[in-house]
Amino acid sequence: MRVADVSASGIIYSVHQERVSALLVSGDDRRAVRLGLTPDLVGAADELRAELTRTVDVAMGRVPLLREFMRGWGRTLLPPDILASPPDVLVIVPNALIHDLPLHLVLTDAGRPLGAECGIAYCSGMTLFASCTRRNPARSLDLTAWRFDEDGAQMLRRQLALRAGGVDVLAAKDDKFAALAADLAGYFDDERVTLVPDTDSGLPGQWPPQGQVHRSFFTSVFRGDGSDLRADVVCIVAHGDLDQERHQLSGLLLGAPHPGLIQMTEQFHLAGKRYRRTDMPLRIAPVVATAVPTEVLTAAELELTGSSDAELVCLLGCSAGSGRVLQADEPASMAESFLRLGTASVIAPMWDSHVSACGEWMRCFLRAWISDGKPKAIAARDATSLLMNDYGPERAGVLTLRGDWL
Amino acid sequence: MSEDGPHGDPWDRLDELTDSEVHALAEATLSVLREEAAGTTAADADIPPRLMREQLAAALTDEGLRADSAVVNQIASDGEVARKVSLAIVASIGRDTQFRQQIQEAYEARRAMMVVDGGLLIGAALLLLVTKLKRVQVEKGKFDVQFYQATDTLIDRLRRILGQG
Repeated sequence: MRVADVSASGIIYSVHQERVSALLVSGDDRRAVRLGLTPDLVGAADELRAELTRTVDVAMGRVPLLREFMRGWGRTLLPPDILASPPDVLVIVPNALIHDLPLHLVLTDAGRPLGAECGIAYCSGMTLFASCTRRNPARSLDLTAWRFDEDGAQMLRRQLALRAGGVDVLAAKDDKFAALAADLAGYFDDERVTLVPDTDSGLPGQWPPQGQVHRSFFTSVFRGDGSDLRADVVCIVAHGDLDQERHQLSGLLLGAPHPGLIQMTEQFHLAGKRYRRTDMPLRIAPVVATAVPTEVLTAAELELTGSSDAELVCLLGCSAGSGRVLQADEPASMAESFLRLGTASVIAPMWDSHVSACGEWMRCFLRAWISDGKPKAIAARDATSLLMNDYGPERAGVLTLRGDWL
Repeated sequence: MSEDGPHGDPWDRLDELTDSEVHALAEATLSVLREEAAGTTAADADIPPRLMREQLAAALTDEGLRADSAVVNQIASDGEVARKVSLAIVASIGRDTQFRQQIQEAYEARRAMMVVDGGLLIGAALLLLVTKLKRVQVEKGKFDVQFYQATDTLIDRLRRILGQG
């Protein structure tokens, strides 16, 4: 199949007082569709979100409201013809209470989750989607020559630079997060991979500390000053920390320099001017017994000093894609922040995630995307479809693609 | 995630558990009890903190404890007290082998999630649920006499933790 022949549709939601409506876009066709009644959805959506924040229930697969959503009221939020015959790719632009609803898990008429039958990418706004597509380096490839899913087809082989790191700050030894990051790095060409922790790299006293999964390593990756650490793909495996009250302070728990090490200043640009600040986290780490010194990489810090031209950022930390809707219908989450920094696509969990299921999903995704040359959304579909064979929807459907689908 | 933390059965080393492990064990206990009490008002989750404190004060007063706002704040906000309360409840409930096994399963599943614990309030929420369960009629009939006795013992322990015994 040629990428140019992929059937891609978009559904742009609009929530009104009485009813949810949507604009269904497919090629040159534009069609307004009337969907579920808003008053029927408000309470159910709130209860579903609450269920998905209960970590133990999610861990145990006790998610009755999610299952009810999938086979029941979630279906009222998708046009019948999409459920009857899903396109190859569907871009979902939510609005108001639709944000964060796992529409990719709604069952189609065939009884399978939508996200296992078609490639889905979420994007919180149309302009953001437009800028994601404009910035996506994959869009500059020859889409008529790019083929996949064909016997003997010439697969697209791309040389993508990866920066990856994993750290379980709670684990004193046998860090499974680091192992997962190293495992995922195996899908990329060795010479273009920077993997942390890497005890062989870096010099004593070097700033930012090289070879360690420190917050300052990743702020360097996302610093807009021509840092040589900038990458095509970034993958971070870490514990997530969700701040329910101040969402911009949600983040990922990463390593920190040992106490006493003097932290350097860094320069950044804001509104055309150059500023200098000490490279310190914007918030303190939660009070938990960690095995290593810990700092939080927050969305707020990235928005203040960061930029990204990465094609894909993978945030494998609990709830990194979960966020509260702010003014102007803007959801706040780590994943959203990365899209606004300039990343073309982001993969992040919608709720608390299980490390081994995340690892399996990512391996399947990278195999399809990197090795088989499929578009990202199609690769995500393959991963979700495969995991649905072995896991419940709370594990198979926790990771989603945001931004551009290609 | 931490299958990698200190190893072994948490029931064998309750006093040595880290605060994160205590939190995870309390969260697992809360989840198991809510599941068992599904369909009753006791299973209501996500009570706002202020309402939870009011309900907890009323429930503890019913149990004969002095439960003014200072005492409730102590349970909800003092890390050491919250830890002791959580452990006292977990140990009491864990005497039932069936509950113990269910809690262990939930605990292990919780520890494999890529998230850190969410604060101190879990001890207060767990205590409130337990005191509510004393009064509800659970259809599944799983809360037997042993559970009530365990809860009575728990109240005695709680009294000592709060310096009222």
